[in-house]
Amino acid sequence: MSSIASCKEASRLISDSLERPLSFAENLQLTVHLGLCHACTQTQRQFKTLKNIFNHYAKLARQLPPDGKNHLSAEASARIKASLK
Amino acid sequence: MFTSISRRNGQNLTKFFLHPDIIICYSDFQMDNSTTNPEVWVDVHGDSLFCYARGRVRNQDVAENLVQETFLAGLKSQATFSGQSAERTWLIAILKHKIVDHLRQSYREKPVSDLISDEQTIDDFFDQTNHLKKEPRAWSSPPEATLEKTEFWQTIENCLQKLPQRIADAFSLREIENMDTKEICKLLGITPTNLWVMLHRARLQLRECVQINWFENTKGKSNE
Repeated sequence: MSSIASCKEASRLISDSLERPLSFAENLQLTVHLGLCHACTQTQRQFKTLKNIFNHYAKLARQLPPDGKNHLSAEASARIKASLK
Repeated sequence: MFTSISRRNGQNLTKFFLHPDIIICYSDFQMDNSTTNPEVWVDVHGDSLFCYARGRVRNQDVAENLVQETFLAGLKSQATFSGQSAERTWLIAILKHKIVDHLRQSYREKPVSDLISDEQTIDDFFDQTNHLKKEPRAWSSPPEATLEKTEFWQTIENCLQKLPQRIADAFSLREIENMDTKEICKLLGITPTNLWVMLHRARLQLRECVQINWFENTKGKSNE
């Protein structure tokens, strides 16, 4: 790996940094890259925003489109009721 | 049309203003601690549990079975229900265990890791010079108003559904169920490196999907 990571490598390090502590070398590489690369700075923000969005999604509410597939069907409902007796 | 949603069991949800047809699968703050007779569980909680299960396993039959198993388990362990949480929260917690058990079983039968193809699909998001094909734009951090929009969560849900199932499972276990690396790796039968590659893959696709379908879309822009 060169001292300045490619955007692909940087993106991997950004994602990994949300999962594990980066090594000193990785951290340095990423910091140098982010200092020079506007796109990867945005990627980092977006990955972090995604984390926040899913954190919110997990906590507050799961809302699915009203496509009719989110209701328990009458048959399943009857079957489950019968099984509970 | 925006209206205050009136829940089947009569509780009003005033914080969110949603289309009345939208089901909120699960929400912590909307429930009181009242309990109901198991005979009416299916009517009171059936749709919420099914909706939650289906978002996770995508298969209707499997989701129905998981809901049935949840009610049966609830019936058996009813005596241990402390009433500290709302009844639905308690049932959802059982359902989550059932979903994890289901994933554990299905991944025991078929191996999950395909590191080579994951690396290859990661390459698909980059051009020949290793830059992202879809350039990351500045997202306005979703303000409160966005987080209360049904359309926003529909976009998120749709993007999640577009991920390959095993990638979505890994991502959901990590970011929605908040499981740690060790637990997920054990469950999916993979190494931490496999998992990190899968999560990277998930994030690349999700950020592209959310950028295109929300932030560059009129739905997102009308919000700024």
